[in-house]
Amino acid sequence: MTAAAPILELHGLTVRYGARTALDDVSLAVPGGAIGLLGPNGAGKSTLIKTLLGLLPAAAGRGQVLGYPLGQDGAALRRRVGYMPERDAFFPGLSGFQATWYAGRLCGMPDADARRRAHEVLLFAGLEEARYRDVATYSTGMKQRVKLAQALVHDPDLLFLDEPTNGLDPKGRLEMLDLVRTIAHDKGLHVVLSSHLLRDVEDTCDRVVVVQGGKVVRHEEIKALARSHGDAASVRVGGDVEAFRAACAARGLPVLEQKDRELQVKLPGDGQTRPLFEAAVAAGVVLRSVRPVRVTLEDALLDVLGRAV
Amino acid sequence: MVIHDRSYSRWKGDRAAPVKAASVVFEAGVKRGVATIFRRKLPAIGLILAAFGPWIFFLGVILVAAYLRGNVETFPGAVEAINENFRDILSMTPEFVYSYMFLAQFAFVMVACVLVGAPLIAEDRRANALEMYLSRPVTAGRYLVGKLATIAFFISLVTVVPTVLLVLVQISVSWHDPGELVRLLGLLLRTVVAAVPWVVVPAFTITAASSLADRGRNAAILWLSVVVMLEFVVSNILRGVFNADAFQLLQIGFNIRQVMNLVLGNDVDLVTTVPVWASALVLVGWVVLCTRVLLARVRPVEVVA
Repeated sequence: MTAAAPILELHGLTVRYGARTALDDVSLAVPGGAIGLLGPNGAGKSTLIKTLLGLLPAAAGRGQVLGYPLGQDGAALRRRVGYMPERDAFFPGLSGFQATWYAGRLCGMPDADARRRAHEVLLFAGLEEARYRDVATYSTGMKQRVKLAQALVHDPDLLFLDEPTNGLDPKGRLEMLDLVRTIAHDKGLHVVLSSHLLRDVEDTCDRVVVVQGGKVVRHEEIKALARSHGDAASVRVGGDVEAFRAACAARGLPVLEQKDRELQVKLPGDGQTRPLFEAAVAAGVVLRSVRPVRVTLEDALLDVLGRAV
Repeated sequence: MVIHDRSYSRWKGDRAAPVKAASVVFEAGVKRGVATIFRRKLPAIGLILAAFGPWIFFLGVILVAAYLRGNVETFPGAVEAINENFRDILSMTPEFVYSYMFLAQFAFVMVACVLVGAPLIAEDRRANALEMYLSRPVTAGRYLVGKLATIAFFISLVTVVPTVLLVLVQISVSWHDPGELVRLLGLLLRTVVAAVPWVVVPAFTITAASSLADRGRNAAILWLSVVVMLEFVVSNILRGVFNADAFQLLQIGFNIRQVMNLVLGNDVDLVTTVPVWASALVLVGWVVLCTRVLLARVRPVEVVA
């Protein structure tokens, strides 16, 4: 596979739970790197990951992951991918080391290699002496770390992380994101990180796939997503505010917020403020101040999701 | 000071080596089963002594008889005495094999099923481990083969393995008698075949019960309830009310005994008009039913539509 070939490619993928459609006609081509799968709870992110892993059958559509067609030879694909599930999941009665070693063995690693790798990835994940304790006694943060170690032990080419910062305290969250960043950017693994937390994706990923109601509503580079939504300006208006709002609307400038006489107006894609002044002239108002406001990924995402609803 | 290298390094091993998932699951299951039995050392030792006590005694009798036969001049009359007192053991009849492998070890099969079999899948379900297994190159089929092999190993350990060893020891002291040797080799083959339903049916039953529960304890209760109800309550009531032997087919144990005795060539005490083929058919159907339950319950994602 060449570097430019997409690691994930989907065409019209539809997944149903009985009568309910969880993924609806999803088409996507992802080139690799660190990809954020972003969307509100119940959007279909976990369903998408499980379908890509071959754990859920597709009702319609086709696709490939790392060159393996969906629904065919799932076992061979799962040998090349790592998966960190969202919920608490562990092999009962095993210590962190044993569980990680066992995960390696299940992926076809020889016993000695699985042992050595288990120690390596547990140290990388930050579990030192605790690796000899039963996983059932671990804190939430430690359980997340051991799940990451188990997903990494066989050195996959592609890593699916489903809400890896769930239940972590702020320090644990930063440490987990640091580990993910290291894997994705320094070690050359492709990472698909599913999260409903914008900051997690913004901090670790290069690209974002926004999922809403079982559909992919946006897929592009994170920088491009924020940029495509332009910047906004905070404007203090002297005169008839409602007339200014109407003039802005007539020029395709949506008002994002209004506090008394201060309005936050989204600027066009090129970031030019000239239309603002034109609107002020048309409304017969005075602009007492115009300050630039940077549009964050959060604003852009809320805008994308708002439009998708 | 950092002692260990904490960085992430790529694995340079053979990524194309075959995945032996079933044997890995089996190996882990056996280790876990042994750990469960030995969780409390004294009861474990008591259990093992009780399970293998008769076997040690039978082995001793066979070896002592062989020794006495070789030293008739030193111990005159002793050979006749031991032959007279332990005729069943020393002649190694199919009846002895049946009564040892099935009747004497019945309780230990139950213990193995409760201690080792009940938690097999139930505890994996409780810990959401099925998702961990099936998101790796492990299919549901291979996972189940590993789990079934685990419980079959423990059931074999208290039934067919000691019986086969006794027959082998008897063969080793009967090499001078070709007729007896041929008979014992035939018995050895029949013993192994007769053990198949005795190992397979309880293994499938307890594994299916385990897949239906989220705790080992609940799986054991479910399994014991089904066995007791079918074996001792429902079938006997229906048989009594309708005066028809056909209701014996509800007893899994009865069906296993019928098939075992046919294979061993025993003329046994089963007073029934139920044909053996019907019992065999019920056992096959039971295994098929358990397999369907297992395949329905062992899934990476539970879909509640």
